Amino acid sequence: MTWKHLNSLMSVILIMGGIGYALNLNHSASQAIYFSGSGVGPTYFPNALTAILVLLCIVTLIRNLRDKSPENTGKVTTANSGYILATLGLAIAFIASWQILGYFYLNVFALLTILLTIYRIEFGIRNSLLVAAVTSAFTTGFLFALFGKILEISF
Amino acid sequence: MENLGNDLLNLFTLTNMLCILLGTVVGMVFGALPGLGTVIAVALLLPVTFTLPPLAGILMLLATYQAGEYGGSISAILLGVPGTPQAAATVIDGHPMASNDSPGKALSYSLVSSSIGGIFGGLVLIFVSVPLAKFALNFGSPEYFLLGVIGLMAVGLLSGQDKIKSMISVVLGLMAGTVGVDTLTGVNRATFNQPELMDGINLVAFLVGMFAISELFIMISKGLNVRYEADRRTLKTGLTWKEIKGIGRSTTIGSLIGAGTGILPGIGGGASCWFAYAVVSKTSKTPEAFGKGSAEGIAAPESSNNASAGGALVPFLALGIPGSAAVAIIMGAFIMHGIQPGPNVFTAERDLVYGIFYGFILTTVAMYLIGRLLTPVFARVLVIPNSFLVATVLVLCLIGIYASKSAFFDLWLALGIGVVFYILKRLQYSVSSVIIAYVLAPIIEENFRRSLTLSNGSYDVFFSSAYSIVLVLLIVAAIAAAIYGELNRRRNRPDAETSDYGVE
Repeated sequence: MTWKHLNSLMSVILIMGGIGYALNLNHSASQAIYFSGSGVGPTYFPNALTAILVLLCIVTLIRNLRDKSPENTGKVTTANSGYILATLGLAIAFIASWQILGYFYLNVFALLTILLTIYRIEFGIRNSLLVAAVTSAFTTGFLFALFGKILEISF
Repeated sequence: MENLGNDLLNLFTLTNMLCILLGTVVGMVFGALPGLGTVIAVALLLPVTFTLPPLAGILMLLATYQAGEYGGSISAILLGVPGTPQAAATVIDGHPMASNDSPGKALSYSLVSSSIGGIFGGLVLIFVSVPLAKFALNFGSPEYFLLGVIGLMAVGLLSGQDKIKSMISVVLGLMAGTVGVDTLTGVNRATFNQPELMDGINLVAFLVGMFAISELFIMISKGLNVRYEADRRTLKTGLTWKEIKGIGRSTTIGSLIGAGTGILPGIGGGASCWFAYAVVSKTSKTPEAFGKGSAEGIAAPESSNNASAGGALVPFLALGIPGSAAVAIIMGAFIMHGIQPGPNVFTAERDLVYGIFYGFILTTVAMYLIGRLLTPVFARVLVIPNSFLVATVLVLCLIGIYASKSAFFDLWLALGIGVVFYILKRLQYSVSSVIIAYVLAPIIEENFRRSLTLSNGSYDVFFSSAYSIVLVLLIVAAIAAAIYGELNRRRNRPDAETSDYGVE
């Protein structure tokens, strides 16, 4: 994908998001008074924002389509994209596990250990796992002491 | 005089002192670490302020803000990599001085000039915001609406490289700020049938997702096992009186420029430090020393970025308009405590306002003392590789979000916001504009609707007083200046459209 494609895609997503926002807004407010005596009801300002957003996104889209600079036609590259996806996936798994099973500190320990092992995999699996486990145990212990014991916040 | 005694008594409590201490240490560490920075530190500490009295919580955030400005110079000087955008100009002379002479000396120049700049910014805050607030009492709803628009225009049009994308960011922030139950009619707006959104988007989830989580993805992109090597020969900080006198002129110029530009929304420390550096280098008796480790070259940008912190609080406290992302987050702390910044806060929350005035000076003193004692320790923090920082900060982000409302919905929301803003940052959308618009949205909308209600829907109300006409003219001038600047930019660099990360 090129920067031009990504820019255009984002403009289209923002336009669609803006329209979705306006539709939901007007649907939610349909049972209420749309307009007060002055003509300014709860949907007036947000609808004006949607119109401005759509207009600005169309301008960006047109400008982007006309831009033939090398920067814009170059390919989008994301260094370490695998690590980013792994971090995102593990964060999702962590929140889901915490929400469904509980055991916050155990989940924290597991998340940190797996993340650090993956991040340091270039140093070898055994070394990475050992460093990750020790660091995670220390960090989790610190968090437990701080939040669980001193601040008495339960997760 | 009696009031001053009471104000100081309110200020010097154990809670306030501990909060300033914590904020200073966190700000300095986060400011020093390239990739993290002041805004993330302030955003991460925001949930902690829930449990604190308003003054203590706000002083903690102010201390973080101040110390982060100095912290950014630690990595700029020792590594040649600015910890914050505001420390970028410090690299030019700070790093050569650290390499040629002594890193401790370079850090001392930075610390002393930052502290003087911070004190100057604090004095500007005290002496300018009260008269400005008194003047602003003449304003009605139309003027407040127009002031809010000016704030947004300044942020959207003056910051960032791409003006249209910055304006889109402003609109996105305003839209996010309208989500939830409308306070005037009780109607649900854009809640998508989610009860968790009825109170609006959780500020902490929004901030942490936007600033911290998205930044973690960028840090991963830049390399996880990058290990910086800091020069730790002599990190002890200290200057002789003669050396302090030697930077007097540049520190004064830097402080004046910093405080002045800080007052203007949207410009902030990032631009002011370059401006100060340029002025001092051009007017110096030894311009040839600049770029090779000049003490004046360190003092000017450092005094400037700390003075701009005090300056940025002036329109925020007096008018309710935050001029930078960090101040917008501090405004979030006000809102969470049910306090609305603006001219009325000077009478409604007098103790708080004066506590902030004197507390701001105190945060600068704390920054100086802790900087002198612990700079060598913070320099050692720089060698922590990104892999440890990313993993630990991610967990801290999630804890902070959950602690704010105990809602799993907010964790999912923040993660989604983090992904979206990672992409938006890469496409050069302005994250600062989003957050400033988000916190200003209720003020702007409420005053807009109130104005039109009072005028029975007539837009003439926005031209009904001399103040509002002046404000409208300022808006027109800002738009004209932005269009002129954009045309000039295109004429000079016709091919410069898109680059990689949208660093602000």
